[in-house]
Amino acid sequence: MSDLNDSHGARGDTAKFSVPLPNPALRAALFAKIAAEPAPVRPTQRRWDAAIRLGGFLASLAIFLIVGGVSVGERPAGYVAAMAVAWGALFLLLSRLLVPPPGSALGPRRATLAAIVLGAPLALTVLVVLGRVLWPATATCDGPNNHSDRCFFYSCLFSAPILLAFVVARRGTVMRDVALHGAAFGAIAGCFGALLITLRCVYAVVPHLLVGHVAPVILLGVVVALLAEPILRFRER
Amino acid sequence: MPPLLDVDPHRPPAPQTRSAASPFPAAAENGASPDDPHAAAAADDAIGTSPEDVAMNAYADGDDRALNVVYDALAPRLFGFFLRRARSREVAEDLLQRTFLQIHRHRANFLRGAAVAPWAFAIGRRLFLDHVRDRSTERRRLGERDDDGLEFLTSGSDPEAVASAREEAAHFLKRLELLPENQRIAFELVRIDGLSMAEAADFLGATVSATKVRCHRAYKALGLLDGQLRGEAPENADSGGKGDR
Repeated sequence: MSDLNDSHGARGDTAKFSVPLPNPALRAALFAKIAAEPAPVRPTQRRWDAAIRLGGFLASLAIFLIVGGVSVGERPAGYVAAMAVAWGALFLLLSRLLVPPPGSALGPRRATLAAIVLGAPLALTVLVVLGRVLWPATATCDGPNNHSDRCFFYSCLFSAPILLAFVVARRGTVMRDVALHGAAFGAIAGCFGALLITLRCVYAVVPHLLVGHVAPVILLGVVVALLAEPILRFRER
Repeated sequence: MPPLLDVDPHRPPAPQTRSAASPFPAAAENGASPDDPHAAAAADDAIGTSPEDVAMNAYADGDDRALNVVYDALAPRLFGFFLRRARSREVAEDLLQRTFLQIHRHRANFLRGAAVAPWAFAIGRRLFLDHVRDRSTERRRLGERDDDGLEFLTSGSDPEAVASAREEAAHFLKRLELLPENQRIAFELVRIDGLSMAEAADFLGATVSATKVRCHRAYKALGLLDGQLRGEAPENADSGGKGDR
């Protein structure tokens, strides 16, 4: 709306559309208030954020090692290595997508967030099926009836510290779409949990992998999306 | 009947100095000359490079004096943003003050190289929504939208001209409200609040092209493409922005 007033000179100078400027006294009062209230600056915050993320990552690894660390079992070593690399690469790719585009302080676009949320379980499913096709021997790596429940639990457990780090680092900040951001945090943390459980779990049949390793990604995405508004949304400090 | 808005939809908002006569705190402070389409297009897509963006980066790094530049650039636009929605000077000033306090308290979270306007407007919008929710004023606000509060949009010494201007403003705002939300918000951000296309796209979470399409459709629906405003309802008011991304 470049000008409402002088359109073809019709209004002349007797009547104007105008918006008054804010009261100059407001500026003085605001600046006095701000001067009296020191706020953290970015360099400090960046160090704090990096420490939180590193802490989440190390906590996940610590839990993984306490539980028992890497275990190959009867699975082909090549299969385990390939899965670890592929799932790890997926985690890194999705984490990279979470970085806002240049010039934006509001986070990735909705389409990018949606791609993370939908793409994570979809890509993991594709990798599971691909592993089964490329390593047919994995079809016999099955276990007892309740083994999927245990993997589901451990997968969520491994994901929790990373998820917590995401939430602590970003809660209360300005985000474009809080629920989608939450779902993306859940999906990415779930991916990391899925990576660790795949290194740990010696079973490799497709139904088990889908229930015990991939389903937690979906669950975490949904749960964090539902809890995002009360937990993550912008709040006045 | 001359058009209410003298705007070329293909031209970015013209650089403008604020004066008592300026309409809404319109903006277009992207530095592009309306006569230079290449510069205009570049400015439209550029983000995070304006003086207020640079100042906000310095402020986030601890240079407290830089807030003056940010305030001068954003306060009038944010004030207009709040005034148009709250229809109360008192509420608008309160929200403006709260927004800048939040900018101050959240400055450590401002990403390096980002544009400050979409970020500040997002904070302002959030505070306004909280204000509406907290005080349950939404219903009353909607019920009072006709002419109430339009006095802040008009000024002048000739009562007839003022009345006519107010009528025109009310008419324009009514038509604006009939637009699909995604088009209305895009139009308001670019043409009223003065964000560049790139900044508006960032605020909306859409691509620059999608934002341009939304603005163009808003122009078309408001009859601004052919200089017509009165008479007919926006042609795609019921379309829900079909085809928009």
